[in-house]
Amino acid sequence: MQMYVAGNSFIHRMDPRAKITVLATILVLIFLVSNPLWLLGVSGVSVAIFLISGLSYQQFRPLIRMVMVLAVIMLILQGFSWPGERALFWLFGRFDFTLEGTLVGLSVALRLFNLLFAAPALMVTTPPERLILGLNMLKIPYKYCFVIAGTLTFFPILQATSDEINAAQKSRAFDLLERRGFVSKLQGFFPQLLPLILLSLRKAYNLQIAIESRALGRVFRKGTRRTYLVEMKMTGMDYAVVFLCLVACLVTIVFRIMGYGTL
Amino acid sequence: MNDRPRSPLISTENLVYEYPGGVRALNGISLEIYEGEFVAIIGQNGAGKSTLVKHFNGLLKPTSGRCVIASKDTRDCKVTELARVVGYVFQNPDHQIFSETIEKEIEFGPKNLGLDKDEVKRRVKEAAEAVGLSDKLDQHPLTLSKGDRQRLAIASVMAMRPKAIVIDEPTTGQDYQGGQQIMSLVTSLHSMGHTLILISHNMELVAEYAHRVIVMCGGEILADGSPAEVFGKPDVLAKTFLEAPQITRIAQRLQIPETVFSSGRLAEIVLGRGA
Ligand SMILES: Nc1ncnc2c1ncn2[C@@H]1O[C@H](COP(=O)(O)OP(=O)(O)OP(=O)(O)O)[C@@H](O)[C@H]1O
Ligand SMILES: [Mg+2]
Repeated sequence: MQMYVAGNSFIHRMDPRAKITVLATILVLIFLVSNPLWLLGVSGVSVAIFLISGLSYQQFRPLIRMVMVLAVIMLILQGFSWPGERALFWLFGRFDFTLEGTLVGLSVALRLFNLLFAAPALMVTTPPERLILGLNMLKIPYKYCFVIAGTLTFFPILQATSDEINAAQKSRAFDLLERRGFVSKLQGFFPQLLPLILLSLRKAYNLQIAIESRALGRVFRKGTRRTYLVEMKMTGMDYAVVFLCLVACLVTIVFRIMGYGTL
Repeated sequence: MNDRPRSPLISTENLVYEYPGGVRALNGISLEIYEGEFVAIIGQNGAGKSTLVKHFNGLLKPTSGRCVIASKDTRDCKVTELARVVGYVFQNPDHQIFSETIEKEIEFGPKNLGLDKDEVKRRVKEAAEAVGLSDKLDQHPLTLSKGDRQRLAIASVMAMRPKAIVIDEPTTGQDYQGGQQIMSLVTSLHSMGHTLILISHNMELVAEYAHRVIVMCGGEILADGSPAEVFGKPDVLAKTFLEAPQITRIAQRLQIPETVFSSGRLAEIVLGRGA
Protein backbone atom coordinates (compact mmCIF):
# COMPACT_ATOMS: atom_id res chain seq x y z
CA MET A 1 0.00 0.00 0.00
CA GLN A 2 1.30 3.41 -0.90
CA MET A 3 0.56 6.48 1.17
CA TYR A 4 0.16 8.87 -1.70
CA VAL A 5 -0.57 8.15 -5.33
CA ALA A 6 0.10 11.19 -7.46
CA GLY A 7 -2.44 12.27 -10.05
CA ASN A 8 -4.45 15.18 -11.31
CA SER A 9 -8.06 14.03 -10.97
CA PHE A 10 -10.86 16.14 -9.54
CA ILE A 11 -10.42 14.28 -6.25
CA HIS A 12 -6.69 15.02 -6.24
CA ARG A 13 -7.33 18.72 -6.68
CA MET A 14 -9.94 18.92 -3.93
CA ASP A 15 -8.95 20.72 -0.73
CA PRO A 16 -8.12 18.26 2.07
CA ARG A 17 -10.77 19.91 4.24
CA ALA A 18 -13.43 19.17 1.64
CA LYS A 19 -12.21 15.59 1.40
CA ILE A 20 -12.36 15.15 5.15
CA THR A 21 -15.93 16.47 5.04
CA VAL A 22 -16.87 13.99 2.31
CA LEU A 23 -15.38 11.09 4.24
CA ALA A 24 -17.09 12.19 7.47
CA THR A 25 -20.39 12.47 5.61
CA ILE A 26 -20.08 8.97 4.18
CA LEU A 27 -19.32 7.69 7.67
CA VAL A 28 -22.35 9.45 9.13
CA LEU A 29 -24.60 8.18 6.33
CA ILE A 30 -23.59 4.55 6.55
CA PHE A 31 -24.06 4.47 10.28
CA LEU A 32 -27.38 6.29 10.26
CA VAL A 33 -28.84 4.09 7.57
CA SER A 34 -29.19 0.35 7.88
CA ASN A 35 -31.48 -0.53 4.99
CA PRO A 36 -29.35 -2.40 2.42
CA LEU A 37 -31.12 -0.66 -0.48
CA TRP A 38 -30.29 2.78 0.90
CA LEU A 39 -26.74 1.65 1.60
CA LEU A 40 -26.49 0.53 -1.99
CA GLY A 41 -27.28 4.13 -2.95
CA VAL A 42 -24.41 5.43 -0.80
CA SER A 43 -22.16 2.75 -2.34
CA GLY A 44 -22.90 4.28 -5.73
CA VAL A 45 -21.38 7.54 -4.50
CA SER A 46 -18.34 5.77 -3.01
CA VAL A 47 -17.66 3.82 -6.19
CA ALA A 48 -18.06 7.02 -8.20
CA ILE A 49 -15.44 8.72 -6.01
CA PHE A 50 -13.11 5.78 -6.52
CA LEU A 51 -13.59 5.89 -10.29
CA ILE A 52 -13.12 9.67 -10.51
CA SER A 53 -9.92 9.47 -8.45
CA GLY A 54 -8.37 7.41 -11.26
CA LEU A 55 -6.76 4.96 -8.80
CA SER A 56 -6.09 1.59 -10.30
CA TYR A 57 -8.18 -1.29 -9.07
CA GLN A 58 -5.05 -3.47 -9.34
CA GLN A 59 -3.31 -1.63 -6.55
CA PHE A 60 -6.14 -2.17 -4.11
CA ARG A 61 -6.91 -5.72 -5.10
CA PRO A 62 -5.32 -7.38 -2.04
CA LEU A 63 -7.20 -5.06 0.29
CA ILE A 64 -10.45 -5.46 -1.64
CA ARG A 65 -10.14 -9.24 -1.56
CA MET A 66 -9.57 -9.20 2.16
CA VAL A 67 -12.67 -7.11 2.77
CA MET A 68 -14.75 -9.26 0.39
CA VAL A 69 -13.84 -12.30 2.47
CA LEU A 70 -14.73 -10.41 5.66
CA ALA A 71 -18.06 -9.37 4.15
CA VAL A 72 -18.95 -12.96 3.26
CA ILE A 73 -18.02 -14.12 6.75
CA MET A 74 -20.19 -11.34 8.21
CA LEU A 75 -23.09 -12.37 6.03
CA ILE A 76 -22.84 -16.01 7.08
CA LEU A 77 -22.38 -15.25 10.77
CA GLN A 78 -25.26 -12.78 10.90
CA GLY A 79 -27.49 -15.04 8.81
CA PHE A 80 -27.15 -17.84 11.31
CA SER A 81 -26.97 -15.92 14.55
CA TRP A 82 -29.43 -13.02 14.20
CA PRO A 83 -32.62 -13.77 16.17
CA GLY A 84 -35.07 -13.61 13.23
CA GLU A 85 -38.44 -15.17 12.41
CA ARG A 86 -38.33 -15.91 8.71
CA ALA A 87 -35.91 -18.72 8.01
CA LEU A 88 -34.52 -19.01 4.51
CA PHE A 89 -33.00 -22.48 5.04
CA TRP A 90 -31.76 -24.76 7.78
CA LEU A 91 -28.56 -26.55 8.48
CA PHE A 92 -28.75 -29.93 10.24
CA GLY A 93 -32.43 -29.18 10.84
CA ARG A 94 -31.57 -26.86 13.70
CA PHE A 95 -29.59 -23.81 12.60
CA ASP A 96 -31.80 -21.26 10.90
CA PHE A 97 -30.41 -18.94 8.29
CA THR A 98 -32.91 -16.10 8.66
CA LEU A 99 -34.04 -13.37 6.30
CA GLU A 100 -33.49 -10.75 8.99
CA GLY A 101 -29.99 -12.02 9.58
CA THR A 102 -29.26 -11.90 5.87
CA LEU A 103 -30.36 -8.28 5.72
CA VAL A 104 -28.25 -7.32 8.74
CA GLY A 105 -25.30 -9.19 7.25
CA LEU A 106 -25.81 -7.41 3.94
CA SER A 107 -25.87 -4.01 5.56
CA VAL A 108 -22.67 -4.71 7.51
CA ALA A 109 -21.03 -5.96 4.32
CA LEU A 110 -22.17 -2.86 2.41
CA ARG A 111 -20.81 -0.57 5.13
CA LEU A 112 -17.42 -2.25 4.82
CA PHE A 113 -17.63 -1.96 1.07
CA ASN A 114 -18.33 1.77 1.32
CA LEU A 115 -15.44 2.43 3.63
CA LEU A 116 -13.17 0.39 1.45
CA PHE A 117 -13.84 2.38 -1.69
CA ALA A 118 -14.31 5.86 -0.28
CA ALA A 119 -11.58 6.07 2.37
CA PRO A 120 -8.56 5.11 0.25
CA ALA A 121 -9.82 7.11 -2.72
CA LEU A 122 -10.01 10.22 -0.57
CA MET A 123 -6.90 9.70 1.56
CA VAL A 124 -4.42 8.25 -0.92
CA THR A 125 -5.02 11.21 -3.23
CA THR A 126 -3.82 13.63 -0.54
CA PRO A 127 -0.14 14.00 0.37
CA PRO A 128 0.06 13.23 4.13
CA GLU A 129 1.45 16.65 5.00
CA ARG A 130 -1.47 18.39 3.28
CA LEU A 131 -3.92 16.12 5.02
CA ILE A 132 -2.44 17.06 8.38
CA LEU A 133 -2.43 20.73 7.45
CA GLY A 134 -6.10 20.38 6.53
CA LEU A 135 -6.93 18.80 9.86
CA ASN A 136 -4.98 21.48 11.66
CA MET A 137 -6.80 24.23 9.78
CA LEU A 138 -10.07 22.65 10.88
CA LYS A 139 -8.91 23.63 14.40
CA ILE A 140 -8.05 20.10 15.46
CA PRO A 141 -5.25 20.46 18.06
CA TYR A 142 -1.80 19.86 16.62
CA LYS A 143 -1.10 17.01 19.01
CA TYR A 144 -3.97 14.97 17.59
CA CYS A 145 -2.98 15.84 14.05
CA PHE A 146 0.48 14.61 14.84
CA VAL A 147 -0.82 11.31 16.16
CA ILE A 148 -2.89 10.82 13.00
CA ALA A 149 0.09 11.71 10.80
CA GLY A 150 2.27 9.32 12.78
CA THR A 151 -0.20 6.50 12.31
CA LEU A 152 -0.64 7.22 8.61
CA THR A 153 3.08 7.21 7.91
CA PHE A 154 3.77 4.28 10.24
CA PHE A 155 2.38 1.61 7.95
CA PRO A 156 4.35 2.40 4.78
CA ILE A 157 7.53 2.68 6.86
CA LEU A 158 6.74 -0.66 8.48
CA GLN A 159 6.21 -2.15 5.04
CA ALA A 160 9.51 -0.81 3.71
CA THR A 161 11.44 -2.00 6.77
CA SER A 162 9.80 -5.38 6.56
CA ASP A 163 10.78 -5.73 2.89
CA GLU A 164 14.37 -4.82 3.70
CA ILE A 165 14.52 -7.41 6.51
CA ASN A 166 13.03 -10.01 4.23
CA ALA A 167 15.70 -9.29 1.62
CA ALA A 168 18.48 -9.43 4.23
CA GLN A 169 17.37 -12.84 5.54
CA LYS A 170 16.83 -14.25 2.06
CA SER A 171 20.39 -13.22 1.27
CA ARG A 172 21.45 -15.59 4.03
CA ALA A 173 19.72 -18.47 2.23
CA PHE A 174 16.67 -18.24 4.46
CA ASP A 175 13.61 -19.74 2.82
CA LEU A 176 11.44 -21.11 5.63
CA LEU A 177 8.66 -18.67 4.83
CA GLU A 178 8.50 -19.99 1.30
CA ARG A 179 8.30 -23.61 2.36
CA ARG A 180 5.06 -25.41 2.94
CA GLY A 181 3.95 -26.61 6.31
CA PHE A 182 2.74 -24.84 9.40
CA VAL A 183 5.83 -25.47 11.55
CA SER A 184 8.24 -24.07 8.97
CA LYS A 185 6.05 -21.02 8.51
CA LEU A 186 5.90 -20.46 12.26
CA GLN A 187 9.67 -20.85 12.71
CA GLY A 188 10.14 -18.62 9.73
CA PHE A 189 8.47 -15.71 11.43
CA PHE A 190 11.15 -15.07 14.03
CA PRO A 191 13.97 -13.91 11.74
CA GLN A 192 11.39 -11.65 10.08
CA LEU A 193 9.52 -10.34 13.05
CA LEU A 194 12.16 -9.82 15.73
CA PRO A 195 14.26 -7.25 13.85
CA LEU A 196 11.05 -5.49 12.85
CA ILE A 197 9.87 -5.19 16.44
CA LEU A 198 13.28 -4.05 17.68
CA LEU A 199 13.63 -1.45 14.96
CA SER A 200 10.09 -0.16 15.50
CA LEU A 201 10.66 0.21 19.23
CA ARG A 202 13.90 2.04 18.64
CA LYS A 203 12.24 4.28 16.05
CA ALA A 204 9.42 5.12 18.42
CA TYR A 205 11.89 5.96 21.16
CA ASN A 206 13.96 8.17 18.86
CA LEU A 207 10.81 9.86 17.62
CA GLN A 208 9.86 10.71 21.17
CA ILE A 209 13.22 12.36 21.77
CA ALA A 210 12.98 14.22 18.47
CA ILE A 211 9.49 15.46 19.31
CA GLU A 212 10.37 16.63 22.77
CA SER A 213 13.51 18.37 21.70
CA ARG A 214 11.44 20.41 19.25
CA ALA A 215 8.96 21.44 21.93
CA LEU A 216 5.87 19.86 20.44
CA GLY A 217 2.71 21.12 22.11
CA ARG A 218 4.12 24.55 22.91
CA VAL A 219 1.16 26.78 23.55
CA PHE A 220 0.95 29.96 21.55
CA ARG A 221 0.55 33.14 23.51
CA LYS A 222 -3.00 34.45 23.64
CA GLY A 223 -3.85 36.62 20.69
CA THR A 224 -1.16 35.16 18.42
CA ARG A 225 -2.18 32.91 15.59
CA ARG A 226 -0.27 30.10 13.96
CA THR A 227 0.79 30.97 10.43
CA TYR A 228 1.30 28.44 7.68
CA LEU A 229 4.11 28.06 5.21
CA VAL A 230 1.73 26.67 2.60
CA GLU A 231 -1.60 28.44 2.56
CA MET A 232 -4.48 26.34 1.23
CA LYS A 233 -7.48 28.03 -0.29
CA MET A 234 -10.92 26.47 -0.57
CA THR A 235 -12.23 27.01 -4.09
CA GLY A 236 -15.87 27.48 -5.09
CA MET A 237 -15.95 23.81 -6.08
CA ASP A 238 -14.75 22.79 -2.62
CA TYR A 239 -17.48 24.90 -0.97
CA ALA A 240 -20.05 23.30 -3.27
CA VAL A 241 -18.88 19.84 -2.20
CA VAL A 242 -19.05 20.75 1.48
CA PHE A 243 -22.52 22.23 0.96
CA LEU A 244 -23.73 19.04 -0.77
CA CYS A 245 -22.35 16.95 2.08
CA LEU A 246 -24.16 19.01 4.69
CA VAL A 247 -27.42 18.75 2.73
CA ALA A 248 -27.00 14.99 2.41
CA CYS A 249 -26.43 14.66 6.16
CA LEU A 250 -29.43 16.85 7.02
CA VAL A 251 -31.77 15.06 4.64
CA THR A 252 -30.72 11.66 5.95
CA ILE A 253 -31.18 12.75 9.56
CA VAL A 254 -34.66 14.04 8.79
CA PHE A 255 -35.61 10.81 7.01
CA ARG A 256 -34.25 8.76 9.89
CA ILE A 257 -36.32 10.75 12.40
CA MET A 258 -39.35 10.13 10.20
CA GLY A 259 -38.56 6.43 10.44
CA TYR A 260 -37.22 5.63 6.97
CA GLY A 261 -33.99 3.90 6.06
CA THR A 262 -34.03 1.27 8.77
CA LEU A 263 -34.52 -2.43 8.30
CA MET B 1 45.11 -10.40 -11.92
CA ASN B 2 46.61 -11.43 -15.24
CA ASP B 3 45.50 -15.04 -15.24
CA ARG B 4 41.80 -14.21 -15.21
CA PRO B 5 39.41 -17.12 -15.76
CA ARG B 6 37.60 -16.88 -19.07
CA SER B 7 34.06 -16.26 -17.84
CA PRO B 8 33.28 -13.49 -15.37
CA LEU B 9 31.71 -14.27 -11.99
CA ILE B 10 29.18 -11.46 -12.39
CA SER B 11 28.15 -9.87 -15.64
CA THR B 12 25.33 -7.61 -16.76
CA GLU B 13 24.28 -6.74 -20.27
CA ASN B 14 22.23 -3.62 -20.91
CA LEU B 15 20.65 -4.02 -17.52
CA VAL B 16 17.61 -1.79 -17.07
CA TYR B 17 15.59 -1.70 -13.88
CA GLU B 18 12.41 0.18 -13.18
CA TYR B 19 10.83 0.26 -9.72
CA PRO B 20 7.09 -0.47 -9.67
CA GLY B 21 6.26 3.25 -9.33
CA GLY B 22 7.97 3.82 -12.69
CA VAL B 23 11.31 5.18 -11.44
CA ARG B 24 14.03 4.03 -13.84
CA ALA B 25 16.87 3.40 -11.42
CA LEU B 26 19.22 1.61 -13.85
CA ASN B 27 19.52 2.67 -17.44
CA GLY B 28 21.50 0.12 -19.44
CA ILE B 29 24.34 -1.10 -17.26
CA SER B 30 26.92 -3.44 -18.82
CA LEU B 31 29.81 -4.64 -16.72
CA GLU B 32 31.87 -7.69 -15.88
CA ILE B 33 33.37 -8.59 -12.56
CA TYR B 34 35.89 -11.42 -12.38
CA GLU B 35 36.74 -13.70 -9.51
CA GLY B 36 39.25 -12.15 -7.13
CA GLU B 37 38.51 -8.51 -7.93
CA PHE B 38 38.11 -5.78 -5.32
CA VAL B 39 35.61 -3.33 -6.78
CA ALA B 40 34.27 -0.14 -5.23
CA ILE B 41 31.10 1.47 -6.52
CA ILE B 42 30.74 5.19 -5.89
CA GLY B 43 28.19 7.83 -6.86
CA GLN B 44 25.87 10.37 -5.29
CA ASN B 45 22.68 9.43 -3.40
CA GLY B 46 20.11 7.88 -5.70
CA ALA B 47 22.66 7.02 -8.40
CA GLY B 48 21.42 3.43 -8.44
CA LYS B 49 24.29 1.72 -6.59
CA SER B 50 22.13 -0.33 -4.24
CA THR B 51 19.70 -1.16 -7.03
CA LEU B 52 22.59 -2.51 -9.14
CA VAL B 53 24.12 -4.71 -6.45
CA LYS B 54 20.71 -6.08 -5.50
CA HIS B 55 20.77 -7.73 -8.93
CA PHE B 56 23.98 -9.57 -8.05
CA ASN B 57 22.21 -12.04 -5.78
CA GLY B 58 18.85 -11.99 -7.49
CA LEU B 59 17.00 -9.78 -4.99
CA LEU B 60 15.93 -7.72 -7.98
CA LYS B 61 15.41 -9.12 -11.47
CA PRO B 62 16.15 -7.00 -14.56
CA THR B 63 13.24 -5.19 -16.19
CA SER B 64 15.14 -5.71 -19.42
CA GLY B 65 18.65 -6.86 -20.25
CA ARG B 66 20.45 -9.63 -18.45
CA CYS B 67 22.31 -10.32 -15.24
CA VAL B 68 24.42 -13.48 -15.20
CA ILE B 69 25.96 -14.85 -12.00
CA ALA B 70 28.39 -17.80 -12.23
CA SER B 71 27.06 -18.55 -15.75
CA LYS B 72 23.43 -18.58 -14.64
CA ASP B 73 20.80 -16.01 -15.60
CA THR B 74 19.41 -14.61 -12.34
CA ARG B 75 15.91 -14.75 -13.77
CA ASP B 76 16.05 -18.54 -13.46
CA CYS B 77 17.42 -18.59 -9.90
CA LYS B 78 16.12 -18.02 -6.42
CA VAL B 79 17.89 -15.65 -4.03
CA THR B 80 18.43 -18.53 -1.64
CA GLU B 81 20.38 -20.44 -4.31
CA LEU B 82 22.42 -17.43 -5.37
CA ALA B 83 23.26 -16.75 -1.70
CA ARG B 84 25.85 -19.53 -1.99
CA VAL B 85 27.67 -17.60 -4.68
CA VAL B 86 27.13 -13.98 -3.72
CA GLY B 87 26.78 -12.87 -0.11
CA TYR B 88 25.14 -9.52 0.58
CA VAL B 89 25.79 -7.47 3.70
CA PHE B 90 23.02 -4.93 4.12
CA GLN B 91 23.65 -1.33 5.02
CA ASN B 92 21.90 -1.54 8.38
CA PRO B 93 22.97 -4.59 10.42
CA ASP B 94 19.81 -4.22 12.53
CA HIS B 95 17.76 -5.36 9.56
CA GLN B 96 19.07 -8.87 10.02
CA ILE B 97 20.11 -9.46 13.64
CA PHE B 98 17.53 -11.49 15.52
CA SER B 99 19.38 -14.17 17.51
CA GLU B 100 20.01 -14.10 21.25
CA THR B 101 23.73 -14.79 20.92
CA ILE B 102 26.40 -13.79 18.47
CA GLU B 103 27.20 -17.43 17.81
CA LYS B 104 23.61 -18.18 16.80
CA GLU B 105 23.52 -15.15 14.55
CA ILE B 106 26.62 -16.33 12.66
CA GLU B 107 25.24 -19.89 12.49
CA PHE B 108 22.06 -18.76 10.75
CA GLY B 109 23.40 -18.66 7.19
CA PRO B 110 25.46 -21.90 7.28
CA LYS B 111 22.54 -23.74 8.87
CA ASN B 112 20.23 -22.51 6.12
CA LEU B 113 22.70 -23.99 3.65
CA GLY B 114 22.10 -27.35 5.31
CA LEU B 115 25.69 -27.90 6.46
CA ASP B 116 26.39 -30.47 9.18
CA LYS B 117 27.04 -29.49 12.78
CA ASP B 118 30.83 -29.76 12.76
CA GLU B 119 31.13 -27.74 9.59
CA VAL B 120 28.83 -25.06 11.00
CA LYS B 121 30.96 -24.89 14.17
CA ARG B 122 34.15 -24.59 12.15
CA ARG B 123 32.76 -21.79 10.03
CA VAL B 124 31.40 -19.85 12.99
CA LYS B 125 34.80 -20.03 14.65
CA GLU B 126 36.60 -18.94 11.52
CA ALA B 127 34.22 -16.05 10.79
CA ALA B 128 34.21 -14.81 14.39
CA GLU B 129 38.00 -14.82 14.39
CA ALA B 130 38.17 -12.93 11.12
CA VAL B 131 36.02 -10.08 12.47
CA GLY B 132 37.47 -10.15 15.99
CA LEU B 133 34.38 -11.30 17.87
CA SER B 134 35.73 -14.70 19.06
CA ASP B 135 35.68 -13.82 22.75
CA LYS B 136 32.10 -12.55 22.67
CA LEU B 137 30.37 -15.54 21.07
CA ASP B 138 27.78 -16.00 23.82
CA GLN B 139 26.97 -12.31 24.25
CA HIS B 140 23.73 -10.76 23.09
CA PRO B 141 24.20 -8.98 19.74
CA LEU B 142 22.41 -5.87 20.97
CA THR B 143 25.09 -5.27 23.59
CA LEU B 144 27.52 -4.61 20.75
CA SER B 145 28.41 -1.20 19.38
CA LYS B 146 27.19 -0.27 15.92
CA GLY B 147 30.62 -0.97 14.45
CA ASP B 148 30.71 -4.42 16.04
CA ARG B 149 27.16 -5.16 14.85
CA GLN B 150 28.37 -4.27 11.36
CA ARG B 151 31.23 -6.77 11.80
CA LEU B 152 28.79 -9.36 13.05
CA ALA B 153 26.69 -8.89 9.92
CA ILE B 154 29.80 -9.36 7.80
CA ALA B 155 30.77 -12.49 9.76
CA SER B 156 27.31 -13.97 9.34
CA VAL B 157 27.62 -13.59 5.57
CA MET B 158 31.23 -14.74 5.24
CA ALA B 159 30.42 -17.88 7.25
CA MET B 160 28.45 -19.02 4.21
CA ARG B 161 31.71 -18.83 2.21
CA PRO B 162 30.24 -17.16 -0.85
CA LYS B 163 32.59 -16.54 -3.78
CA ALA B 164 31.75 -12.85 -3.76
CA ILE B 165 30.66 -10.55 -0.97
CA VAL B 166 28.70 -7.36 -1.59
CA ILE B 167 28.90 -4.78 1.19
CA ASP B 168 26.60 -1.76 1.04
CA GLU B 169 28.14 1.28 2.76
CA PRO B 170 29.93 -0.34 5.68
CA THR B 171 31.57 2.87 6.82
CA THR B 172 28.60 5.22 7.27
CA GLY B 173 28.35 6.57 10.79
CA GLN B 174 31.86 5.37 11.63
CA ASP B 175 34.63 7.65 12.77
CA TYR B 176 38.02 7.64 11.07
CA GLN B 177 39.33 4.72 13.11
CA GLY B 178 36.10 2.72 12.76
CA GLY B 179 36.24 3.22 8.99
CA GLN B 180 39.88 2.09 8.86
CA GLN B 181 39.07 -1.00 10.94
CA ILE B 182 36.16 -2.03 8.73
CA MET B 183 38.28 -1.47 5.64
CA SER B 184 41.15 -3.56 6.93
CA LEU B 185 38.59 -6.30 7.66
CA VAL B 186 37.30 -5.96 4.11
CA THR B 187 40.85 -6.16 2.79
CA SER B 188 41.50 -9.31 4.76
CA LEU B 189 38.30 -10.84 3.34
CA HIS B 190 39.71 -10.06 -0.09
CA SER B 191 43.05 -11.65 0.67
CA MET B 192 41.20 -14.74 1.94
CA GLY B 193 40.01 -15.16 -1.63
CA HIS B 194 36.59 -13.48 -1.68
CA THR B 195 35.69 -11.29 -4.61
CA LEU B 196 34.63 -7.97 -3.09
CA ILE B 197 32.10 -5.42 -4.22
CA LEU B 198 31.89 -2.43 -1.97
CA ILE B 199 29.59 0.58 -2.06
CA SER B 200 31.05 3.58 -0.32
CA HIS B 201 30.83 7.34 -0.05
CA ASN B 202 34.25 7.58 1.51
CA MET B 203 36.63 8.53 -1.30
CA GLU B 204 39.73 8.35 0.91
CA LEU B 205 39.02 4.75 1.87
CA VAL B 206 38.05 3.75 -1.66
CA ALA B 207 41.23 5.25 -3.12
CA GLU B 208 43.36 3.60 -0.49
CA TYR B 209 41.91 0.08 -0.61
CA ALA B 210 39.97 -0.75 -3.80
CA HIS B 211 41.62 -2.06 -6.98
CA ARG B 212 38.87 -0.97 -9.32
CA VAL B 213 36.41 1.92 -9.04
CA ILE B 214 33.07 2.19 -10.82
CA VAL B 215 31.44 5.62 -10.84
CA MET B 216 27.66 5.67 -11.21
CA CYS B 217 25.37 8.58 -11.96
CA GLY B 218 21.68 8.62 -12.85
CA GLY B 219 21.52 4.86 -13.37
CA GLU B 220 24.50 4.77 -15.72
CA ILE B 221 28.21 4.05 -15.44
CA LEU B 222 30.28 7.22 -15.83
CA ALA B 223 33.73 5.74 -15.33
CA ASP B 224 35.27 2.35 -14.62
CA GLY B 225 38.93 1.80 -13.95
CA SER B 226 41.74 1.74 -11.41
CA PRO B 227 41.61 4.36 -8.63
CA ALA B 228 44.44 6.22 -10.35
CA GLU B 229 42.51 6.35 -13.64
CA VAL B 230 39.19 7.34 -12.09
CA PHE B 231 40.45 9.90 -9.60
CA GLY B 232 42.75 11.30 -12.25
CA LYS B 233 39.67 12.67 -14.06
CA PRO B 234 38.28 15.39 -11.81
CA ASP B 235 35.92 16.64 -14.57
CA VAL B 236 34.14 13.27 -14.76
CA LEU B 237 33.82 13.09 -10.99
CA ALA B 238 32.45 16.62 -10.85
CA LYS B 239 29.53 15.59 -13.09
CA THR B 240 28.24 13.51 -10.23
CA PHE B 241 29.33 15.94 -7.49
CA LEU B 242 32.12 13.71 -6.25
CA GLU B 243 35.64 14.80 -5.49
CA ALA B 244 38.86 12.84 -5.42
CA PRO B 245 40.48 12.47 -1.99
CA GLN B 246 41.89 15.71 -0.63
CA ILE B 247 45.48 14.58 -0.96
CA THR B 248 44.88 13.73 -4.62
CA ARG B 249 43.41 17.16 -5.29
CA ILE B 250 46.35 18.87 -3.60
CA ALA B 251 48.70 16.93 -5.87
CA GLN B 252 46.59 17.90 -8.88
CA ARG B 253 46.78 21.56 -7.85
CA LEU B 254 50.55 21.21 -7.64
CA GLN B 255 50.34 19.92 -11.22
CA ILE B 256 51.96 16.65 -10.35
CA PRO B 257 51.12 14.30 -13.26
CA GLU B 258 50.88 11.22 -11.02
CA THR B 259 47.59 10.47 -9.19
CA VAL B 260 48.63 10.51 -5.55
CA PHE B 261 46.72 8.84 -2.71
CA SER B 262 48.99 9.14 0.30
CA SER B 263 50.68 12.03 2.04
CA GLY B 264 53.89 9.98 2.13
CA ARG B 265 54.00 9.67 -1.65
CA LEU B 266 53.20 13.36 -2.10
CA ALA B 267 56.01 14.30 0.27
CA GLU B 268 58.41 12.09 -1.67
CA ILE B 269 57.53 13.71 -4.95
CA VAL B 270 57.59 17.26 -3.62
CA LEU B 271 60.86 16.80 -1.74
CA GLY B 272 62.36 14.93 -4.66
CA ARG B 273 61.44 17.79 -6.94
CA GLY B 274 62.72 20.39 -4.50
CA ALA B 275 66.09 18.65 -4.19
N1 LIG C 1 11.81 0.65 -3.33
C1 LIG C 1 11.89 1.66 -4.21
N2 LIG C 1 10.79 2.07 -4.88
C2 LIG C 1 10.85 3.08 -5.77
N3 LIG C 1 11.96 3.75 -6.07
C3 LIG C 1 13.10 3.41 -5.44
C4 LIG C 1 13.13 2.35 -4.47
N4 LIG C 1 14.39 2.22 -4.01
C5 LIG C 1 15.11 3.16 -4.65
N5 LIG C 1 14.36 3.87 -5.51
C6 LIG C 1 14.82 4.95 -6.40
O1 LIG C 1 15.75 4.43 -7.30
C7 LIG C 1 16.85 5.32 -7.48
C8 LIG C 1 18.16 4.63 -7.15
O2 LIG C 1 18.16 4.29 -5.78
P1 LIG C 1 19.33 3.49 -5.06
O3 LIG C 1 18.87 3.15 -3.70
O4 LIG C 1 19.77 2.38 -5.93
O5 LIG C 1 20.47 4.60 -4.99
P2 LIG C 1 21.88 4.55 -4.25
O6 LIG C 1 22.89 4.90 -5.28
O7 LIG C 1 22.04 3.27 -3.52
O8 LIG C 1 21.73 5.76 -3.23
P3 LIG C 1 22.29 5.92 -1.73
O9 LIG C 1 23.69 6.43 -1.85
O10 LIG C 1 21.37 6.96 -1.15
O11 LIG C 1 22.18 4.60 -1.05
C9 LIG C 1 16.53 6.52 -6.61
O12 LIG C 1 15.98 7.52 -7.43
C10 LIG C 1 15.53 6.03 -5.61
O13 LIG C 1 14.65 7.06 -5.25
MG1 LIG D 1 22.09 2.72 -1.43
